[in-house]
Amino acid sequence: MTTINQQDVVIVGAGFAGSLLAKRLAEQGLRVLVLDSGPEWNMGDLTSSQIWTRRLKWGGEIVETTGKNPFGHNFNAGWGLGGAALHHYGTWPRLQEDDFKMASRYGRGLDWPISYADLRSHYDRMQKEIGLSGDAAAEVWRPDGDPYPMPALKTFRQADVLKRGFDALGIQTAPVPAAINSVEYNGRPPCIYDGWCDAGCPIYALGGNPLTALIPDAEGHGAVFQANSTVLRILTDKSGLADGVEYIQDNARQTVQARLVIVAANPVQTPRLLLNSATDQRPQGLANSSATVGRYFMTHMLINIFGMFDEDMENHMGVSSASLISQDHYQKDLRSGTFGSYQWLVAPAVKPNDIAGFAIGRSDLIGDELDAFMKRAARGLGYMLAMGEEIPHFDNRVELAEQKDQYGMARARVVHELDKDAMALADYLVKQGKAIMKAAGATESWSPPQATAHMMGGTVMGLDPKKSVADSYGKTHDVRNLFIAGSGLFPTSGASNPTFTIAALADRSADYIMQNWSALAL
Amino acid sequence: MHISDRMMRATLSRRRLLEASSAFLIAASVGGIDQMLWPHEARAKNVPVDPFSEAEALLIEKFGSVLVTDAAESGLVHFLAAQLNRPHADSLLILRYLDVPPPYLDFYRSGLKALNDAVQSVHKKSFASLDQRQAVEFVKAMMSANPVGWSSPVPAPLFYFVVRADAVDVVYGTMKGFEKLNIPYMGHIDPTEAW
Repeated sequence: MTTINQQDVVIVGAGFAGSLLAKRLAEQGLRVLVLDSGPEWNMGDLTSSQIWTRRLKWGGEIVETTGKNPFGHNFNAGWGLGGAALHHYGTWPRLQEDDFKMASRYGRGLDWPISYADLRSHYDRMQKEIGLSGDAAAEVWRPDGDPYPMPALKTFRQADVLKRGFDALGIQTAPVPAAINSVEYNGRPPCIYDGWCDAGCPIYALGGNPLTALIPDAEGHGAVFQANSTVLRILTDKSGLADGVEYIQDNARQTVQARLVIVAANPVQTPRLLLNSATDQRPQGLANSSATVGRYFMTHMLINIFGMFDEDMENHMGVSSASLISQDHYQKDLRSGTFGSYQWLVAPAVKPNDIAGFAIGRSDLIGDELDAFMKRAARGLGYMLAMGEEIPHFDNRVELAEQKDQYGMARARVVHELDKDAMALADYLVKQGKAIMKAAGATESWSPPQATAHMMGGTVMGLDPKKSVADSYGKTHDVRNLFIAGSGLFPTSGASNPTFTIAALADRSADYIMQNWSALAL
Repeated sequence: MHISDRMMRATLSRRRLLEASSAFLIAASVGGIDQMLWPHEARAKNVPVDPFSEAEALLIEKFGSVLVTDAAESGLVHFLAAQLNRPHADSLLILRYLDVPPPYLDFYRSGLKALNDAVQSVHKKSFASLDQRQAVEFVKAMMSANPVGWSSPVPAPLFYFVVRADAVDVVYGTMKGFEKLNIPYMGHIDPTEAW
């Protein structure tokens, strides 16, 4: 085993949170090493193809998925530098004030140890740094915050048509808030609306892609990003503080010493790493005195609604995210028999193939019937999707599987079930979605089986060290120089896409770490 | 925005892209001449389809063509073979998204065997021997449940879903497929060949 020189900070995972923290801490002069198990990517690797984009999705150790409603892991997880943010769609709504206080306001789920007000300035700072397009005034549901630095993205015919349905039912919509340039911003060009965002945007228009600026900026300040380096365990000294990590590179075990360790893997691999870092002193895993590591795993329940129209929808134009958003009915207890927030994302650019392609939307069609449908859909398809909130449940979890990887470390297993509230919300959204399509003028509409999107929880933050893994800065309750970053910290999921909140939290954590460096570091 | 070595390297990545795309090329000796062929060319020249047997390849073509018109001509079997010869972390198969554990060849081989077993139990002949009407009826029956005689741990509806998605990839998910649907491709970085 080789031990390389000491770093100030080692970050596990080069997704959005890890990359942002690397940038922030390197800017302050700290020596930062980021280790990621996947490959290195560059902009030239980002081929515009729904087939090629699969390279950007999870390709690491097998993750077992089970439970009544298994979580769709590989589609949602990233692989390599940039993590899931490399292929994310750039939809950046904020969480709402209610999302932070679910337990105290509704007697369900969990509370965050902070409120929206604690994150507002970080949302504002990040939207300026990354570059967000949108229309804050049109988002009547949006909590307080600065206006977006760029005007809204363009919309096309599909959005105009589907908006008719929302208008007819009295549901308000707004241009989608997106980490995508609508105009030139910070020297980066505007979007050209070709709908290849999830294949990775190589033209630097999607600021939420860490390759666009975060990773280059961090490297410019001396941070080192090391791909193909799988961290096996976090190392601790005799006092129980983190003092480095053990990892595999080129099939050789190596260790690196560090004064502070940040685990920014993802809500599956972060618990796996903590649990696999068990020692004789901590047989239940590192930072797990609360026995909550891996618990409260959450996803967004996803409902896709398609409609066919007798007009040219220009549905190939736009962005992968959506053209419009509606959080008009976000309030969690607004609907009888259901509980949880939801949002509509309306009129994304569509492609023929892949998981979100329109061929899969009608998987009952084959042969000539399929071909006829494909030709009609290429012109007349309308598409929108709803994301529904999932209440945090202790039994939805990431745990260690019996199977081990080639290095002797247990695999992760995700156990997941949607509760009756989520299922009722799904039924409600299918009915509402079809009603919107009908009101917009669709000649027919349909909804494939529900799916899952995003991952959150598993290492939730909280005030009580007996009931949570970390505090609001991501500092683990048990180990003062071990931090967690990313959506694994979320105690509730809300119904908003998570990346903006991941960014705001990581920004806040970076401030805290720098302000308290001498007290935190080994 | 800092201009780092990474951004400079982006242009060099184009070379890596070209190298990676060669993974789709199939080395073949045709008429005594060594050639690198694209999957649809390999299919036209009857190049072997390792790791599939000849019988498995024929079954994939027949099954895939019932699911999606022109799947065989578009090189479905060679596309699958090329991907199955790669490490799963480099795979471009949709199976990667569905949390099916590798090796992926086991999935296809098991499903193909079950398909033929089930057809044999019902029709007393192979799937490839079914006429179009029989094949379509059989496929429609396996969309939602395992047909009688299905012998694989891979559920028939999942096998159907995956192979149909593979066939959609090669027929409609390519630049040629977009053209067929009259959809402007508008790639930032176009795939270098068929896929």
